[in-house]
Amino acid sequence: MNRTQKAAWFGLVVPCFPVAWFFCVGIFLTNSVLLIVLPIVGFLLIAPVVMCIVIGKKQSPDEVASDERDYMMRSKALLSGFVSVFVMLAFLCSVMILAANDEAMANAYMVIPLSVLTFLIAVAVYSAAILVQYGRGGQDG
Amino acid sequence: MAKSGLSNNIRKFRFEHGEMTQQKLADIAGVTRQTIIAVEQGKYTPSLTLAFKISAAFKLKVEDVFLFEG
Repeated sequence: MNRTQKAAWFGLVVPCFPVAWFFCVGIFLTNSVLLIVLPIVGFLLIAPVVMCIVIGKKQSPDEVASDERDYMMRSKALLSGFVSVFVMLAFLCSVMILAANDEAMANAYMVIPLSVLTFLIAVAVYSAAILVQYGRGGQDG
Repeated sequence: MAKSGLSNNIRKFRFEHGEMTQQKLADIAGVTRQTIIAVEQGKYTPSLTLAFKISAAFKLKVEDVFLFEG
């Protein structure tokens, strides 16, 4: 497994924890925004440090970090992640409009966790797109 | 053979060159082992630069290693 694959697995697994936290604790168990946001922000600060340690190890002294195929996969995955941001924002806006009827209003603080959630899902989609391409052998069409 | 109509003899030449490992060839060509595997299996069509590097690793011409069957 090369560095791109490791980073993709990391990017796929890591967002699961904050997303699970957001849905379980944030929506069903508490109304406190701090209790939702602070653990997620803390997790996101620690995650890059752990990622550098995990993917820093080389298989061979001459091993390259990434090559032309990785760049091609990343560019396709980036497009997938970018599209997922718009899809997520459209979905979340629709849910909030449907949830809040004419009389109700959404809490402005909810913008923060929703933005973080959108970012995490975009990272997960980006990582999944890389892994799917690796699974298909990085076919170039 | 890949969709592009390109096939190759990388596996054959690896074994003819002292059973060169995929990792060794990858290190020489400056790519990852996964890319060599994908090229060898015909799942990925390499760039011209990579094709030349792989051929140079075997001290052969590009047309000896890669075959176009359009």
